[in-house]
Amino acid sequence: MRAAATLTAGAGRMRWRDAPPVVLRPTGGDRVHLVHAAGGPLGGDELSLHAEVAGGRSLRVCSVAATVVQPGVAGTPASWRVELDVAAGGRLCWQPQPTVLTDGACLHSDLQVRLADTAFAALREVVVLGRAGQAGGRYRGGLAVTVGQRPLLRHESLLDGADAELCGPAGTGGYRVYGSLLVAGAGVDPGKSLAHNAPGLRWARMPLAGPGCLVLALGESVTAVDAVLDELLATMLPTVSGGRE
Amino acid sequence: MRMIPLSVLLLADSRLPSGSHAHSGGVEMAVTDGLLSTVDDLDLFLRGRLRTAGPVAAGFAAVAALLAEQGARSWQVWDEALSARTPAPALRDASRAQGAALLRTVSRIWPGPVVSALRELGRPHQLLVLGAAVAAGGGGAADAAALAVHHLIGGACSAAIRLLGLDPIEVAAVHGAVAESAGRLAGASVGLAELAVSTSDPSILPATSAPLPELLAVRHAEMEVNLFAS
Amino acid sequence: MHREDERGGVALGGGAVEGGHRHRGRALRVGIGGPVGGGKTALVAALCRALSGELSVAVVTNDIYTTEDADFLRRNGVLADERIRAVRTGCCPHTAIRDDITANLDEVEELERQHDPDLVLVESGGDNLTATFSYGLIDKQIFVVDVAGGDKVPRKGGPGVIRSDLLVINKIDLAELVGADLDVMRRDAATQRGARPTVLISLRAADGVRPVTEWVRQEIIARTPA
Repeated sequence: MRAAATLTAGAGRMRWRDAPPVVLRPTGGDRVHLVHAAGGPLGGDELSLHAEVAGGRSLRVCSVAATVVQPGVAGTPASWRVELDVAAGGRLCWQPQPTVLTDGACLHSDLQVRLADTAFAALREVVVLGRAGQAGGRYRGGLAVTVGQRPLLRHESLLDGADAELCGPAGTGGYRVYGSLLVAGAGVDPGKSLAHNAPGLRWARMPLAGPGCLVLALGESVTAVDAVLDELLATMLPTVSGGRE
Repeated sequence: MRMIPLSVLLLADSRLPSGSHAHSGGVEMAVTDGLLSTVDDLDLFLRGRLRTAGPVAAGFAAVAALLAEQGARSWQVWDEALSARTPAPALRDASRAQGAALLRTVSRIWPGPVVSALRELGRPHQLLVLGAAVAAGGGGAADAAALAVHHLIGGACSAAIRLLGLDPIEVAAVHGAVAESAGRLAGASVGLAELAVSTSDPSILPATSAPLPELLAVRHAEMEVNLFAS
Repeated sequence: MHREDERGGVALGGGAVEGGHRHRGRALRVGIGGPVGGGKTALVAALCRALSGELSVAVVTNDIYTTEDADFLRRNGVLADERIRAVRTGCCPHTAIRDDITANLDEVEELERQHDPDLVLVESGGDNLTATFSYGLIDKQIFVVDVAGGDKVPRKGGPGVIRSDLLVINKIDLAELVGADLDVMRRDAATQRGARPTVLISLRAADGVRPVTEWVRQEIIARTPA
């Protein structure tokens, strides 16, 4: 199934066009909830969203529930492409609920973010390999962020709960939850490098070679990874709300 | 049957002063944290690295060889593209330190306008210097991709031997075992590299990675006692 | 614009520092090598203490350098933090000073760019008798052995004993305790080294480092154009 939704936080009201199963629901102020009407993508689905934030506007995109990716026919991947354009002075917060890759599922996710020089964005993602008791499916998650025409981040994580090589020390090290948080654009101080290692949770804060900072986390539980990303987001930019609503 | 230029083999030789003997390719922190301790662990680690870091290494080295063949003087955009693919500051630093070291040696062996252009960048990323050096020595994009992947494997193998006392003959067997798939990866990277250069568009080049090595690199840089620089 | 790399660019070997204004060209680079436990680190500290009043000194160490070491040097007023840089050798201390000197050259040049020193000391990581410095990295090298390593060491030779620019036999205060015959060591060293100098010292004695500082001063004078 193919579906392409659009969303604009423009000068006037919020405008959007649903493309089921990709459904958008403004929920007050600058906030929009993304709903996967069918519960989650199936292998073979090609879903996309293009969102624009006009100059000086702000947009917060959340989701109602975790997205559960199921296997499709003959292991074809599900594809989720998101393009986010933020104009001068605009602010974007992208904080969907976790994505769960069930056994045999495969998702290719691609986020392209283009910020004007004076725009700002915070993007957060949590991926879970498998439901309880499962090893989990495959995930290829691309994040490409450009600020004022210059590439800030080009990052494509390869995860696979059923692949020993990608679950080993060169991959996810046996952890089942992966989290990432990117803060980029106007007024962002990349700050200092910092790593943390505790039982069941590892994370690191990585100042980028430009106006941004990336946090990566690996953990045993969604709760632990969520908590770390919440805490770090609050420190990286105190004026942005830390939790998802 | 093509003869590999001996000057290109020079770039495969770990005796060439390149600064790389002091970089562990992520092995030191993995060993310290108990994540890598046997030859089998090393084998798994290398295979994972080839699938994640491998395409980026092969792609950018191939691009650099093509750019150098064309006498390119403008490398900033490609250097920036590599930085965008290297979020961990410690890994950017390691790449630039090794780039500077290799560039020092390469400037002496094959001075010329391309090498001078790279020097103008200050401390260019290592993969760009490697690719340019291959071209200076008469090699091509496929050679550059192969060398990048060869060093990705070799550096990790060397470090594992020194840190763990693994049997070097067993480690050589592991290196030999992954060499074939590594070679295929290198060969497969050339087409995309050619397209990237002809369209002057780095964004189509691979940006694959995996989280644990990136986390380990940041942690390594904080350790008080390190035997390796990265 | 955020500039991620603050260092200067890549230099081509040798030659005066860009923009340097000293009449005598760049710093004298002296390597300090020798087996583990001989007293290399103590010698570096003693030289810094003795010379930093009259000379601008900087140090590159290949030894494992911890915050404890940095604190010690700072507390003892030996040398400011920013004049000491550490190089990791990847478990191959001899490689870093001899076969692949690029990482050490990088740090030496960065110190020269930042501080324009008169003297840069490069201390090797502890190694055995066969490890010596490349003259691509340093101008002169000091090889440090101690009497507790045995009085046969000079007789055994090796590149460090034979060809170093200065051989230091350290800890002579322990000679009697360890049964080392200093005359034997002095004679054997002279036989091996010919005209090259050897000094026998104890860094624990008051001004025990003097013979070495005299040698360093002479070497600096010898480099200064008339």
